[in-house]
Amino acid sequence: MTDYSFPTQLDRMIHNPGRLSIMAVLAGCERADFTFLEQTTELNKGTLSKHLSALEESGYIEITKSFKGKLPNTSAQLTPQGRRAFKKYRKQYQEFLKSVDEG
Amino acid sequence: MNERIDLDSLTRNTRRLEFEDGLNDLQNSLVFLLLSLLGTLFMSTAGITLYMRAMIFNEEITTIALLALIPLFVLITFGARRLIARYRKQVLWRHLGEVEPFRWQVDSRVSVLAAAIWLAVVIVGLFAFAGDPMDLDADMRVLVAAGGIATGVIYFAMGQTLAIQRYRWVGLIGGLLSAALIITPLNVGLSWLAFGLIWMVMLMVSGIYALRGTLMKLRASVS
Repeated sequence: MTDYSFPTQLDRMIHNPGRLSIMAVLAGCERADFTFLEQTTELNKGTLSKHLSALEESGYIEITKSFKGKLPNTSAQLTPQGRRAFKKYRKQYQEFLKSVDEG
Repeated sequence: MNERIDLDSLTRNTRRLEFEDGLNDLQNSLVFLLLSLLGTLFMSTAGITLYMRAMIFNEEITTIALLALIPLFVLITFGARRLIARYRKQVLWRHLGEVEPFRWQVDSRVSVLAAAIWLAVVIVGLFAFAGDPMDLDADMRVLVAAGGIATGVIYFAMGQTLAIQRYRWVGLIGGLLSAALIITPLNVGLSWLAFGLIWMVMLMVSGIYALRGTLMKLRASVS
């Protein structure tokens, strides 16, 4: 039996599929609003909101709440720390997938 | 993890969004048009003659008019950006939410590569094509063509990294047409005009093609 030896050094905060999707989307832009994240990550409002709060607490994203006309608008962007963490995670994740494929 | 998340495509699709509707190309085609007209005005014999006549007629007004071109250029460029943002928000991305693209869309590696290619073309071109040290037009043509080739490299590289096929064609054709400027007999003003027109037309065609596709998709999703 192949031992895939799950890489323990992977950042647990990013490793969750929902948070990983959010980080991946935010890595491709300066900033995105809640609706955009909801559409692209296909997470429901409640789950998305929970993940955004967790990422904000860890210092990986910055959330801005504002008003567009009379409607409230929430947008998020990666912090420099978050961008570095995602880059590191991505590299480790791809190495892990490669080892699984080769195994 | 239960499923594999394609990180690269999530990031790439977000980055691609800025270019998918072609509005960015249309804005850049406007920038190239303005650049070519301004460049021709300052570099062609006709432009310089016009400038001299205007200076003789009224020095102050001519200077003010020339200085006014700078904010006008900025206004047109940023004005177009604001129009694009509004059109996307109200029509194209109405249901998609809002996303703010990176301020600098070109990867630093691509910028360095384009700058290196520009320098290489200038050095090789000046030695190979500009044999006569008195032929300033030939030297300037090399500089202009090198700029066009570097622009082509940037678009081609963006096509590769963002998987946008039309940018591969824009980069390739625009780069080749720009390279052909070296062997033309055009003077500096006309070669600058040709450079601007090549890129204006390339980006205009690319933008219209992409925008048409986006509008057709939008219409299909509505109906």
